[in-house]
Amino acid sequence: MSNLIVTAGSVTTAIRLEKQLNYAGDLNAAVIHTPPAISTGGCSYSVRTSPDKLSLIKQIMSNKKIRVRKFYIEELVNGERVYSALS
Amino acid sequence: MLYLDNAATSLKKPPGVYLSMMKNTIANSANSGRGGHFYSLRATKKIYETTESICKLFNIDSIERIAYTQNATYALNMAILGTLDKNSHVIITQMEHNSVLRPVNKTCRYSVIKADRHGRIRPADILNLIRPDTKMIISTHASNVCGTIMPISKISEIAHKNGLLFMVDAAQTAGCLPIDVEKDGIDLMAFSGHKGLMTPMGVGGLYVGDNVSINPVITGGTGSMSESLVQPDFLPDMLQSGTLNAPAIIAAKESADLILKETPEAIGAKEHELAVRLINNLMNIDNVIIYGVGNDKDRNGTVAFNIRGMDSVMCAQILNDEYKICTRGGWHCAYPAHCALGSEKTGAVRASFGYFNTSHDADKLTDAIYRISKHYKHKKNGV
Repeated sequence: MSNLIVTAGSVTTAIRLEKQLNYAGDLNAAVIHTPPAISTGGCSYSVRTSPDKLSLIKQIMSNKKIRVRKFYIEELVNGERVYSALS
Repeated sequence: MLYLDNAATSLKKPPGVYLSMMKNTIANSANSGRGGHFYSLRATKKIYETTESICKLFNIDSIERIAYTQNATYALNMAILGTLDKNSHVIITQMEHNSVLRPVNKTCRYSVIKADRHGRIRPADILNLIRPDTKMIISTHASNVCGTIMPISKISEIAHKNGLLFMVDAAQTAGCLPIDVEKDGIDLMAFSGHKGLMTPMGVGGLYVGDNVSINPVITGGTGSMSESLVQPDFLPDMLQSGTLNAPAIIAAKESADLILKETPEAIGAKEHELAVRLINNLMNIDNVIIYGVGNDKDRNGTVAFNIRGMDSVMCAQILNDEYKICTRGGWHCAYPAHCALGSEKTGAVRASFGYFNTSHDADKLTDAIYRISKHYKHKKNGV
């Protein structure tokens, strides 16, 4: 299992991103509360989506002027969710 | 009862608004933007759909740039207190409502663009009022007293040529006049939901353009950056603390979509037609004074008048008690506007048409005014 997590801060931005990604194609995007492991200590919202089409996702964000914070890959390692930041 | 006080609020709502309000009070009363559970996210997504419709209505390209408030007054206060301070100067029109006058008077230095007897301003007059410390021009889109429409595109042009921000108070026009934040050059816009947009009460909003730097006046829980003692610096969270009125905001989509379908142009034209019909009727009654631009194009569905020599509050009371017609007498929280119109001593009777009114309503009010004025004239003459 591998997911792309895009952290957005505001729930409004997260929903906007989710809508745009699902509108653009089969990206299976869903808004989630940002996992504690990658949040800065408090609440925020992210979009969980398919990691395969990162360049398309970045292009959609650029076209629609959607500002996000960071990208992470979420993987299941020994039953635990592990996150690694993408540069 | 005949309701003619739509400038205060819309009494009736489109049926879909009532149904949505009930349905979403049951189904979507979870706290939006709080946590990631099903109900919270569902309410948030529903609110988002309303915002999409409102953005379409005002040609706003970014959903994040609308912050919901309880009403237009809150939105105006947020904008004025959040962008101006005691070292700033602002230019306002004489036709403003107290929801602009009072926060401006409390916050900063200001100059007033004088209006004429019809409630019109001359945009060229603004140039003489601009000072080195001027930061913004604020104008109502239409007078809440007499319905005169302000030339907002021209004001915006002057504002931007002089490096100033331009804010519009659209409390009287959102939903019943076309508004395009891009074409009209609007940097900040406050709107109420419960008037022309026909939403339930408790819905208003502030549009903040991407060139505007604003500080939050109300701070608190936003569901984001909880670890920080500092308010988030991104919209809408920066301006949207505390629990939103989710069922009412969600219900607003019903009326916003209806307006999008029928168009604000068509709704505004119908209300204008009713106002003109009333004015033309009242002009045939010899002791009635009509304020504002008369039956000209630059007016909306709000008409102010008096029966000569008669107290406006008393006239409105008689209309209510004896003719079952709801109007509003007095000064309408806009005393300087009455000074411009020449009704500062008497106030005025205000009849304001809305989406559900018909020409029959204009005629019914005319008939009542004719009878009251005749009776009053006779009484005055001791007949």
